[in-house]
Amino acid sequence: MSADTIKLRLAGVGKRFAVAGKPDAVAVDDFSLDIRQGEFLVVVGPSGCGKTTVLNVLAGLDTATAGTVTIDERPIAGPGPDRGVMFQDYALFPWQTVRGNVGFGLKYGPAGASLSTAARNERIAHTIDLVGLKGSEDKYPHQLSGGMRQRVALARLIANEPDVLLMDEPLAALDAQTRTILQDELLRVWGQDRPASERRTVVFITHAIDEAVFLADRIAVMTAHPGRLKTIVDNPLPRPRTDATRALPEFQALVQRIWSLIRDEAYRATVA
Amino acid sequence: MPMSPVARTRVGDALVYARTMLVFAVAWWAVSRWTDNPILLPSPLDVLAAMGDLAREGELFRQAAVSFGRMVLSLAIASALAIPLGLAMGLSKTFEAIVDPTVELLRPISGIAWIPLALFLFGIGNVLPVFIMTYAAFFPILLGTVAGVRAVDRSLVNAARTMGLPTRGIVTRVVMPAALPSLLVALRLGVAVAWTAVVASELIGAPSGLGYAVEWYRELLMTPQVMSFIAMIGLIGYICDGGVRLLSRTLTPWAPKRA
Repeated sequence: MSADTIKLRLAGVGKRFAVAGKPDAVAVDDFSLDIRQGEFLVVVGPSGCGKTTVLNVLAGLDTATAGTVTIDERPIAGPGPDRGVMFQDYALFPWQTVRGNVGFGLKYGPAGASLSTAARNERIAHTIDLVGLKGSEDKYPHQLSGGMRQRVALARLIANEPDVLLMDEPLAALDAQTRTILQDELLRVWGQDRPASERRTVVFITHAIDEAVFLADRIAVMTAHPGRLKTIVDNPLPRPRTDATRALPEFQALVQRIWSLIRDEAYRATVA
Repeated sequence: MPMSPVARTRVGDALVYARTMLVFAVAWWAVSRWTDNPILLPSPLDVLAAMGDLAREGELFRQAAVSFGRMVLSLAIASALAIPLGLAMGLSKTFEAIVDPTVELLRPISGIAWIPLALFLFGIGNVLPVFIMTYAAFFPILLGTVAGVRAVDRSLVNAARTMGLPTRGIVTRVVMPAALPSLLVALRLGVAVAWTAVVASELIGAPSGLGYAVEWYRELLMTPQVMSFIAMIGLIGYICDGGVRLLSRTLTPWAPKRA
């Protein structure tokens, strides 16, 4: 598969909600975007711009009211194990321990069907280790801090090894240090050291512009009311990206450029 | 050795409890001296003595075991009927719309109201109290199950769907465990109403059990014995409630602690 294969395609996607006694609310309007196989695409935009709606449509949890959405040229009709989702509210199963949550898809879903029990446990243990939760395997979500819960959600997503990773502000609740570490880890899991054809496809929502610039191949900038795609910014920063990347003048310049694209709207959204 | 805060609280609780019981017993004793009619109100010491006799003879425990056994059986039947039905009602709006009118019509009728009719149907024996208790426990367990299923967090179901679980897996791996805490609260309520109904149904409809014993000794005007059995009813009700709470803690160690 060449690196230019289109993995996910959104064509003229719109999402309206009926509001009693008023014209329909438009969450997303005429959104078209092709996401390439192995691409790390980050969506940024002010709150209320429909980022989460776009992600839910890709996940198959929400249906678009206009336009088409496809994966590998097949229409998306519902959720599937080929598209893993990391939810903004983590959606951890409170009756499962950390180990149970991370292994949930492997145990009860198709992701682990081809694995032996030993291989499954090995992968669960490895993933828990990866996100730095070793020693907390037997804890329940209510016994964990917000940051630790977020790591469990991340581990649960990674353990299933889906083709496409859909992530809704996955690192938002973390402290700055953990966040930096997990950004590095995420790039490693995604496969930044591998050729582009062996990478997974990631759609990543964030409101942190520096995070977007560090992670993304391309950055989709959205505007609100209605939610539209404003522009797509190519990110030329070389890979693999490391701590040194964050110190590059190009890195800062790109952060500034994207900030200037959404600044006016962000101010309006905050002040209004 | 300094006590841990938990131990200190336990000791404190026990002291408060003992003090309350002491005040109650003294007040009871004082009133019984004042009325001076052992058939109307025997002194707590007489009741204690009668209880000791009944315990030695084994009658107290025999009758308690009969009633307790009936309650356990009733709860098992009520759960076996109400939990699957509640699950189906919680999952399917259509099914709920079909069943709910009947449920809402029967629910306000207390179990005791069926006793005269049940006497015709089943006669005096084991069946009548079990039927009445099953009826009483059925509704809280049903409604608790429906509410529990209804309250399952959508995002948990969505998370399971994105991991490719089939509908069956979502019901057994997400909906059922998520509804379990609510179900256990309902079970606790079911135990309480079933145990309340045991006495009424055994008073009239059974040749054995604590309710029967209360009625038997009332006819003999042996009030201390009557009160011994009443005390036993309270004690077993209290223990059962504790048992269900212990069950909740064991089955759902992950659920937020409730009072």
